Amino acid sequence: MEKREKEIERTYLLLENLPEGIIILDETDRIIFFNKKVEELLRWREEFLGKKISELKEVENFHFISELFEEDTSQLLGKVIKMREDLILRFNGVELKKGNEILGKAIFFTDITREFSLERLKREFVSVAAHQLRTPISAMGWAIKTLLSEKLGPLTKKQSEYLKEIFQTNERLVHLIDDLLNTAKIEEGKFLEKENEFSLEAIVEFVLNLLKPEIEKKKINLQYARPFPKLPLVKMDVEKIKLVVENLISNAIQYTFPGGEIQISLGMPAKGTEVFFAIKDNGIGIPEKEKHQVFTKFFRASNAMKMQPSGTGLGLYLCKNIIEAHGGRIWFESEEGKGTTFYFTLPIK
Amino acid sequence: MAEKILIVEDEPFLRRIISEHLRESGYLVTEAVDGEEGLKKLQEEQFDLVLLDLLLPGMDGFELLAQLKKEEKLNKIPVLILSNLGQREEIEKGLSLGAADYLIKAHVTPEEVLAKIREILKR
Repeated sequence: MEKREKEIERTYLLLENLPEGIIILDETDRIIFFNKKVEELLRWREEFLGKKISELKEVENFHFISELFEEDTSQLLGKVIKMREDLILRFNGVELKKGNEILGKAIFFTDITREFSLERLKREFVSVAAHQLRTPISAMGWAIKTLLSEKLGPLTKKQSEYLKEIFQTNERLVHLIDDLLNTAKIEEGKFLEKENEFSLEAIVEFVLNLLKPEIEKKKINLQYARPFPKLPLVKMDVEKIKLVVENLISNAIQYTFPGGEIQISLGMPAKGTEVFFAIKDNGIGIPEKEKHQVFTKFFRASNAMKMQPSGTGLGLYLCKNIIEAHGGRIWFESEEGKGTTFYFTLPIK
Repeated sequence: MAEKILIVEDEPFLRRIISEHLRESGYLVTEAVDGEEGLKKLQEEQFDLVLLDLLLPGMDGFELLAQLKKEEKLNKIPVLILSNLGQREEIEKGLSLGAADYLIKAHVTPEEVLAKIREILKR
């Protein structure tokens, strides 16, 4: 075989046998190639070759596929679609261009069914474990508190001391379980699920409402002005972004002294491709030497630990995972003893 | 007049501890061990507050809450969720279904539960 023919043959075999599915359309949007994975997972047949996607009406989950292909391929980035109960695929698309000439489109997909079901198993485990472990521990904690209250009879000094110790040990178990559950959720941030267009202002206001009691308790002066004009809706995993906002605001509250100040601002810089969130406090700040560790797993700054001994050190790690999975950036500025400002951005599309 | 509280909780010891605390504080307490019994009692007596666990045998707490909110006669009774499920989605689900508040059993003491009840009844 000629050298060039061999190359073409090899390339063809490569595409045929890739563990990812590949569909190639020509410049008229007709199917000119699809590989074994597509046959296997999407159950496509040879007679589909030469047809336009819109002609494949009897194909299973047709409406998903046709919507997919109608979209601008450059927008097809990591789109997750549940084809069947047992098949979840992540799609990517690319235009095949030579200079300015468009020769066609290629659609790729990866089978992520296993990762998805692992996520679900993890979440179910987390819920069940929470409940199963917490139930006996709650019962013990409450019973001990009842005994300590002396409602069930007076206690000797030693009995009271022992009971207090048992209660503290029980509390440690509660925190250990909380940490365990958070650890189980750590990787969650890297794997986004449902993405919707949602308002970042709405999330901020929701979280502020949630944390109102703590803000008032600490007499913190919190300033937040709704951005005007309204920010565009942002494509996001709403639950996860809520987690990030709650984490950042909660941290600001925790590490600022009573009577301190927190300012939250939202905006969209002139070029209009991303929105930003900033939260500034005049709290304890982050020590210079520890700044590079702030986003690492389990890290807690030395001054933070003194102010608030309990804390898992997972919050910011999770935030970073989530923001970066969205294609955004997260960073901070801080001076120990003066305060900290945290920022993040989210791309609008 | 003494206020009446319905507690729906399947764990007997937990149910006992809270009920005793409540009775000592002067509340009248009716106990239900699952969702169905809870609904039945709600039809039979008038309550000022419901203490609701979520993970129950048979009908779960969310279903009971949804049913309660559908009925004219019952939907104004404040419901305090007292559960050991504590995930964000679960808390939000409870609150969006109309619960007055949500406490995680492992994170609160009986006194704190009572304080929350007093606070809700004042609202």
